[in-house]
Amino acid sequence: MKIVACYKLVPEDRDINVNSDLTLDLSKATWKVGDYDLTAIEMAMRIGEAQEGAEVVLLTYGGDVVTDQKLKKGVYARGPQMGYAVRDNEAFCSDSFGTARVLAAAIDKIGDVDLVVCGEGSGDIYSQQVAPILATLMKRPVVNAVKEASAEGGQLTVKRDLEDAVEVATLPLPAVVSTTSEACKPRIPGMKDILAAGKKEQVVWEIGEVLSDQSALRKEVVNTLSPAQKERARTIFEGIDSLDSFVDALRKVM
Amino acid sequence: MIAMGKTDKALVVAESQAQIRELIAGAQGLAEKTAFYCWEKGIVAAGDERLQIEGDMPFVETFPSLIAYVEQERPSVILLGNSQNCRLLAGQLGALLGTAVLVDAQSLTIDGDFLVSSRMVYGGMANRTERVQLPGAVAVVAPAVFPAVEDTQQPVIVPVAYVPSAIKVTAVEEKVVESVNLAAAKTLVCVGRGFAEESELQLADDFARKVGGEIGCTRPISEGEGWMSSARYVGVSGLMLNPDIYFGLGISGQIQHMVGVNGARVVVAINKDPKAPIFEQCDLGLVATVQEALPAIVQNL
Ligand SMILES: Cc1cc2nc3c(=O)[nH]c(=O)nc-3n(C[C@H](O)[C@H](O)[C@H](O)COP(=O)(O)OP(=O)(O)OC[C@H]3O[C@@H](n4cnc5c(N)ncnc54)[C@H](O)[C@@H]3O)c2cc1C
Repeated sequence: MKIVACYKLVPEDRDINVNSDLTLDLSKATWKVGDYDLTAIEMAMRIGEAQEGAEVVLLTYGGDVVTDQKLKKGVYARGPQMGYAVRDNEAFCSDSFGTARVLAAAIDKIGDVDLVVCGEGSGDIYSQQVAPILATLMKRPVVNAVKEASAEGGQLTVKRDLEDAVEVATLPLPAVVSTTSEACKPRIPGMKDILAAGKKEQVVWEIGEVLSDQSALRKEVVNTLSPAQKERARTIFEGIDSLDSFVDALRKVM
Repeated sequence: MIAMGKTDKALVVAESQAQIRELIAGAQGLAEKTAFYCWEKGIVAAGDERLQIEGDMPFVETFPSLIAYVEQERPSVILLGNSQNCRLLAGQLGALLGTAVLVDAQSLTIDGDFLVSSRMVYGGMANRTERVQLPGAVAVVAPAVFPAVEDTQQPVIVPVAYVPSAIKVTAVEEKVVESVNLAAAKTLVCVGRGFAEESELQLADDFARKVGGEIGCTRPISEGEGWMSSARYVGVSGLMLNPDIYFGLGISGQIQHMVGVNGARVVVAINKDPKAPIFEQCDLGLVATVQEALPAIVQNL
């Protein structure tokens, strides 16, 4: 069984600044792995580890940052055998349809993939649409909101965490799933895992090797503006010894 | 095809009557004619056509039938409710129609050949206005964007052919859905991961009683630990609230949570880490553990 876990590198939100015209300045932002993609990788590992001889591989689509060694180690140290990256300078502007199309083509190229696991949503834009779009493009069944999953006899059994119920469902493999945000706690890699991760193979494809035609964007961004923020007084009392002064100040604002 | 800011035909899909009524209202502002599929049974006397699929089945098993209907009828705009299942269907319809789905739409308008929506991105740090081409647009609409339609006219019943689903639901465990309305709370006491065990939530309960507040939480407390229902988690993917006073107890202050209470008149934070980001966005803060501070405040306030 071959399982692909997808992840996206996203700008660290604490490094995003707001310009005076309320647009965002992402130029100072470092990159990180989307929080919920680590959950997806963990779920892929658990499904794989329960299967004799299963292979778990990684897949990402992004700019030059996809080959950043530190980021690569951080993700590859979570257990997968190896991985793939599709590099594209325009990836940052991609919408969920465009990304799904690239990933679907890459999964085809990887070949013999039985299961694709995506996170609940990307850490930055969080549309939660890539899994269902890529599944449909690949003509595979798909479910989201998966909090537990196991594979047996060509079939996947999932528990889905819906708003008012937990649903148990089966779907035939090959299939695509996306997880819930907190489906399982990602394992913390040790020093040895991180060192070993540096040596794991990462196959890098340029976008042109995966898709011959670059489709136009389906979704056009008109603008992205930060709402005006309230100024806060920021009166901070340090330590439990200052409790009385804190309580006095609290009475005044209540 | 598009006359006066309206497109010709809308399809509206949702699980519940409450959602479908809001969406029909929205669709009527965007399209000349509205067809809808509401999974929940019961009378909805609104819209022009009500789609019906023979037999009782879980919502997710109706998707192949609805997808086949869309493939044939090609509605120019499709609106879906804000639920996990609707987001799943939305992506499948988006792929079919070759469009990127608009999600979390806080507003929807037609501008020429485009459906325009606004939503939050980067965890709530910014609002984004974005647009997709008509016809063939798909949008998942946030709750309470449109006022629910009243019963006015009986829609025509349109049977939709059943298409078998590859996904089979084998069991459903109903969840106890808590009916709290934090939107009405003037004082909101939110707890975060600074509470190490469920039993410690008693400290927050006592504190909330003292200040006359309702209890809310961050996402990990609800979805990770399961200590509170999802009706209480605040933030970009949970509740967006407007309390008078907000207390953040053992909460780091990440944007995804804080955006849910940005409008509060007063923000008060208690956190053991003086470098926690919440201290940069509060009016009043105390650097201390919640375990030590809360009982003492309850006693002294
Ligand atoms: C796409 C996306 C959407 C999200 N949507 C939401 C959302 O809607 N709502 C939401 O809440 N989160 C959301 N999150 C998660 C969010 O980013 C944060 O991870 C989460 O809000 C952090 O919760 P927390 O503050 O309880 O935990 P932490 O960030 O772990 O913070 C715990 C804090 O408690 C302090 N602390 C520890 N022990 C003590 C003690 N004994 N006494 C006092 N303080 C102590 C620590 O110093 C720390 O600052 C989302 C994330 C993503 C990626």
